[in-house]
Amino acid sequence: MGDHVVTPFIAFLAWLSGALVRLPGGLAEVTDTIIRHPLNGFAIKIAYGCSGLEAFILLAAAMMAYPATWPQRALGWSAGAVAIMSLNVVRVISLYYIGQYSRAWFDWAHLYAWDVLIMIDGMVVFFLWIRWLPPRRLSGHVCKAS
Amino acid sequence: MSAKRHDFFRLWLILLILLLVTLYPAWWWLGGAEWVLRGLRLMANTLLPHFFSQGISEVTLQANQSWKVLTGLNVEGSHPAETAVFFVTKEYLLRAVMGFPLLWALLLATPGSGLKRLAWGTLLLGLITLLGLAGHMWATIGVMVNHQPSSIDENLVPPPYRVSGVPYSEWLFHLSGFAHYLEAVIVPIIAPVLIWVLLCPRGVMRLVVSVRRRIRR
Repeated sequence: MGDHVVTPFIAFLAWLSGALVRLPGGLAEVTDTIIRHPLNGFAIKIAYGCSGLEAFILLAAAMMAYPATWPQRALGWSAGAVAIMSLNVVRVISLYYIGQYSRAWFDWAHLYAWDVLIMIDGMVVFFLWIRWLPPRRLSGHVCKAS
Repeated sequence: MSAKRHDFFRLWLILLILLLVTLYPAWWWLGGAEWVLRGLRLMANTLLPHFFSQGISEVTLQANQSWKVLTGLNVEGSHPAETAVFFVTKEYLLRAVMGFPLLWALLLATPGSGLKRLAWGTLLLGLITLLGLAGHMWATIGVMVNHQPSSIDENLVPPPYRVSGVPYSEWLFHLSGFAHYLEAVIVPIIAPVLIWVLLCPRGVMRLVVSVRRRIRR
């Protein structure tokens, strides 16, 4: 699973991030899952935990647990995948630049800020998906709780 | 009433973001994480030797804030006999405790969460974090006694020496690697959310209802 799905996905993520860095004229060389600056030698390697797949799986599980039809869930998964993966590309690119600026800020952003942001992103997508769902008859329990 | 409900989610989200913006820099830059890690290290040193009677005998704090774990495993061929040690890096520990500010922000942003819930949540997350770190140590010991790299984490490799000890069976070795994976990637970020849902069911329900009501207008 890891070698056949996750690794190629991470390599694609690295390729996409490198391409987006080069688009406005930035410098980045991509080898497999590593993005390297050709002049100063700074490099980041995208690890399994940085793929965004875990956040997506958690979001998908939450949508599975919520009462909805399968097409509604499928739409939610698609929107969630786009939201999480887009933010993850921003994370990789930002870390690539932050790491060249300061190691301390890189550690903070890498270990803390971005993981929490992606989790919040997933939660917001989940609540927006609930909001998007067509109105349904609320149970007595839910009405009392409100 | 509808407008109130309409604003509930937005206000909650704004408050949550403000709390996160305040708590995370304080946690990282003002040393909040280090205080929690000291408490966890004491708990680890007291409890883990009982769970890993032959694997872990002591957990001490290093000057660089990493943990030194003294195992009960002898290094093969050492004279006099030496016991193997491994380290849990500060970076790894900081990541393990990353969920505390998130939990506090979620609890404080949700109405009806008093100090009692904050205390219970912190205690619960502390225990879960300790359990996760135990999973990491379990996987590290597995890598040492089996003398083979982890099948899940390429950074978890055996030391240059061999240690005495009964190797894990293949499934147990993979299970320990999976426990390490859960601890490193999933638990730090999902545990605070689950604890928040557990401690504030009414607040969470109110959030869900508030976003659902909005589309009825």
